[in-house]
Amino acid sequence: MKTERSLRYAGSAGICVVCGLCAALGTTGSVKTGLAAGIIMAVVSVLTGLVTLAVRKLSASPARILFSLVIAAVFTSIADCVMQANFSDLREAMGIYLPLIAVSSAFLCECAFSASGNIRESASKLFAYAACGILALFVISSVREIMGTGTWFGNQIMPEGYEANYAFILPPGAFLTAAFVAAAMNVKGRKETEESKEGKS
Amino acid sequence: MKYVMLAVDAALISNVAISYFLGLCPLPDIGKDRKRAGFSALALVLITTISSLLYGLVYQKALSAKGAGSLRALVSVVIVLAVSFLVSKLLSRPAGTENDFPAWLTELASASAVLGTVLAAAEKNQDPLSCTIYGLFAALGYLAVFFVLWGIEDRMEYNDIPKSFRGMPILLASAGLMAIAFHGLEMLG
Repeated sequence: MKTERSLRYAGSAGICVVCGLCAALGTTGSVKTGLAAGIIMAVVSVLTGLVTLAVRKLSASPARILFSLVIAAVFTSIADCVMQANFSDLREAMGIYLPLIAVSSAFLCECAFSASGNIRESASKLFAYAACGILALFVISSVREIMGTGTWFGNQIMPEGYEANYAFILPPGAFLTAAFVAAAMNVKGRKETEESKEGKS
Repeated sequence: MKYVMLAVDAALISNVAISYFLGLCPLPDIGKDRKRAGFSALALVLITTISSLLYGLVYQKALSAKGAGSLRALVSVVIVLAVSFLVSKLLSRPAGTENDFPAWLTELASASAVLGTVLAAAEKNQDPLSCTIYGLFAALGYLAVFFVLWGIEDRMEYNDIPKSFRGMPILLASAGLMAIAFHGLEMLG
């Protein structure tokens, strides 16, 4: 049971990195924006998923992803309004990646729904993806901010002699960090699969 | 000269795939059929260019002017979906995708490269012509990077890659190396 659950979560984080790649790489230059993007993506995905599940019979795949996209765009616009009113600095820092969360959320919903025909299982997968999305963006943004500027949430945490490696803030560092995170997810996923096979045999 | 610099910036310096990380999540599956791949590429360019022009107009005349910028996600998605429907309907017969029309439309409409380019074009440019040129060259730049990554993925199929790096990780690492090369082009700007 434990193995099955951890396998599901390892896979979920990998799916979140892939589906939300634009947000994962575009907003993770600092932990604040990365975490904000993760939370918005999780909330929008869950709400979109719930609405899509409510009218699931009406919208069969592949039209379902277009329907999810429109619903996700509505929720993203609401999130954009809230950000504009309360966190305008953060909204400015997120730039075009805030509206793009709609696409990532629609893909996450589609991944959750296409993986299983059971509504309860789809919903539980969606919650797992949402939680792991926050975790994945938090990890990537923490690595990039600490390595790139020596700070974490804007506070200096690296020793004074540390020379900041700005490549981590720039696109090459973003791609390489995401590559290593995805590879780590692969290793974890494979180990869990092997363990589960051994357990069954 | 202004428009030439804008085109170079959109296609190479601020490439949507490498600098904005757009269109890689997930990499669109355009298949091995060359005819369909060609029409998908053409459709992507047309959708991006027309949507950039339309969204640029709406953004400048309504959203930005009336202080309704927070509706950008919904407005851009609706415009991209409408344009995608028209373009894919127009091209589905010559592309031979009539039977597979809903899947083809979904593939084109949900490409984050299109939506991202449309949003970036409106926010970076002040007039509709600049938005259109930006959209056109950004789409061409995206396709160039996309086909290079596609080729790299094909060539790496039989390479001895560590198991943990097979699939998405090695593709991301390749994109990272390409990003270093594109970073050098910033001197052109």
